[in-house]
Amino acid sequence: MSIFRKIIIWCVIACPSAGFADTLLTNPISDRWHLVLGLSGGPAWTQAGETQTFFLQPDVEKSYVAKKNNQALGSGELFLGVQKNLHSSATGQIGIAVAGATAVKLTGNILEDADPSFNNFNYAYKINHAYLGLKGRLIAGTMYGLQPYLSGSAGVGFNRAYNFSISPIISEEVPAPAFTANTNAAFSYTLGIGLQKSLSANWQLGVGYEFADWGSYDLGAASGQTLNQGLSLDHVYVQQLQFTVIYID
Amino acid sequence: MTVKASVLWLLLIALLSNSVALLHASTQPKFTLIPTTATAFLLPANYTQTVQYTVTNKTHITRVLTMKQIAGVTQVTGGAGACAKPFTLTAEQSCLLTLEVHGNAITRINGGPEICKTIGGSNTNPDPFLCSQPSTANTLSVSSVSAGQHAYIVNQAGNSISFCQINQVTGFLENCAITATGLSFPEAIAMNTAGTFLYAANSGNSTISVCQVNSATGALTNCADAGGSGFNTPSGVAVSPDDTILYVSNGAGIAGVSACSINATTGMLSACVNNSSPTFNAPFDMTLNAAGTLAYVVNFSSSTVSICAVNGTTVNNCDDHSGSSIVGPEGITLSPSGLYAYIANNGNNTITVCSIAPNSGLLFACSVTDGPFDGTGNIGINNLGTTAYVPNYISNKVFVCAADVVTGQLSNCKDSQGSGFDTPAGILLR
Repeated sequence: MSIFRKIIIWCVIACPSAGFADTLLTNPISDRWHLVLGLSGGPAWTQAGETQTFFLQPDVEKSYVAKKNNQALGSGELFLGVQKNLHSSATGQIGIAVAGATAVKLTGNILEDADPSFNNFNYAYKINHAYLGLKGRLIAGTMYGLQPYLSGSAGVGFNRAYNFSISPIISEEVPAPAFTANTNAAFSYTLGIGLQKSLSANWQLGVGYEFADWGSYDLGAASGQTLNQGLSLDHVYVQQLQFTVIYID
Repeated sequence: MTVKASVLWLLLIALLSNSVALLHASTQPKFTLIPTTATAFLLPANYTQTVQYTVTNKTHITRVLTMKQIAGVTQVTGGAGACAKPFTLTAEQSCLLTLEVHGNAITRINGGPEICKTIGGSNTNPDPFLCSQPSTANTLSVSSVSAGQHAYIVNQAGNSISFCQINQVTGFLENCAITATGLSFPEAIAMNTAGTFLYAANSGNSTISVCQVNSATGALTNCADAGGSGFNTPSGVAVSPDDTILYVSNGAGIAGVSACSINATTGMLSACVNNSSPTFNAPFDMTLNAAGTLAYVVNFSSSTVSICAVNGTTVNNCDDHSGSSIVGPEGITLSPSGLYAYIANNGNNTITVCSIAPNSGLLFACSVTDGPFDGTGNIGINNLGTTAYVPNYISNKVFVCAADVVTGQLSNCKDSQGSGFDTPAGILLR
């Protein structure tokens, strides 16, 4: 069994138990509230996009076939909250998380008349994501000098889809007007797991995995378009590796 | 199947699902535009050029299509198989898109034409969401250049005047069309220096017609009897350099050369006087030197050329030139340099070129040169003096010849490829 699996099982089953009383937090047990400031960052990966077919005009239908390439991006988060010991072997943190990521570029092909015989254009556009949410962390007692944690958050994702462009694959084809930029406010959440280590009474370092659902977005209708909107997606799933520095007062 | 294998299969399916939609995809234009004419050229500002494409609907859907408007380009909808405006094409159906590019309405066209489906309903405007165009090599690429010359060709039996554009590279006559009708066996034409009026000598009813010239396109309109009097089988016309007097050589009778005042506003003729000379003998054509001080009159019956002094409406003191190379002359044209006279001989179907003495204006060193002339009328020469156009009454063709500006000789004559001529006689280039 890998150490990763051991940590998960330990977190889920063992952490809350009183049996870990002898592996207390390295921090002194305190019942008071502590202010917590955390700064996270790291690489992230996504494979967003899905094929969509819809009418732009009553007699103009197109298919947008997404190229779901895995792509890396950068992400960062600022956490401001409070910490309180919940149990002799568990500490809780709760606060506001503000996060953001570098742009995600989505690409694909356009089938005119939704007909594979007319795969005549490439398309591309970008998504920017910002996030404001309520985040909580549950930190278990020390094991092998490390503290496992679980995290979760829910809030509002601000997703901006922009820079939609169409490029013909052959010179005979004339691109249609481009979808316009649009910003959506959507429900967004994160789930994370990781390990942290106390460097001192005030400083902690952590590393973890976080799964994020940025929520939905959609591009605006193109100029002259009479039916539907631009490309859209209900969920953008992002997986990220987080390196965290935490300060506790 | 183990859990591990299942996961691998799921991953493979997920990967493939992304490609399935494009597995059988291919790329092709929705509507093809294949040219049947040249699509890239320089267009003189006073020219109009026709461009044609065969448009085919390659989709499986019947579409109502239209062309996205291009400034300076108009669609011509007449003719068999022509695309209407808008036009409907079923799958794989084609039509011929005919466009006229107007040199006076463009500076540069680079791209298109774009064919789009119409917006629909009563709105026949192009819908930008479904458009195609020719391939890069076949898109319109037209630049307007300085005005080019037109050729006016008298159709004697057709009682009309043809109007052609001159290809500035090949010298061929293009886009020929009838620009004036209602004449009476015309034999010669002349335009005033201002380029506002064109005069036609009607040998059939012994009148002179005056036509208005469109300053932008060169086309003729409103041709009418110019008035004047004393004409008898007029066969040659020339306008004085100051546009005040029209000179007419009368092929029959004793009228000789008539000289009429020109109304500057209307172009109408009045106060005509007849100038006779013992040298005139069936004067079938005439022209003036650039200064307007000498008249060159060809005498059909005596096979001579009279060189006469001109002073206002007076034409006199004629000096007769003859020679074995001048046989039944029907037309005479001077080179723009004023160094050579080209005489069209009806008698032996040849062109004679003579040198012009710089001071006296008399002719010398005449010899037969190339040029398949036949019938009546005069040749035309471009403003550089490098190309000559020779009418051939019998074959209903106009031949284009290279003119040597040093020797005056014509050579390398070939069919000008102009069409629609009916017994072409006199030719004028402007």
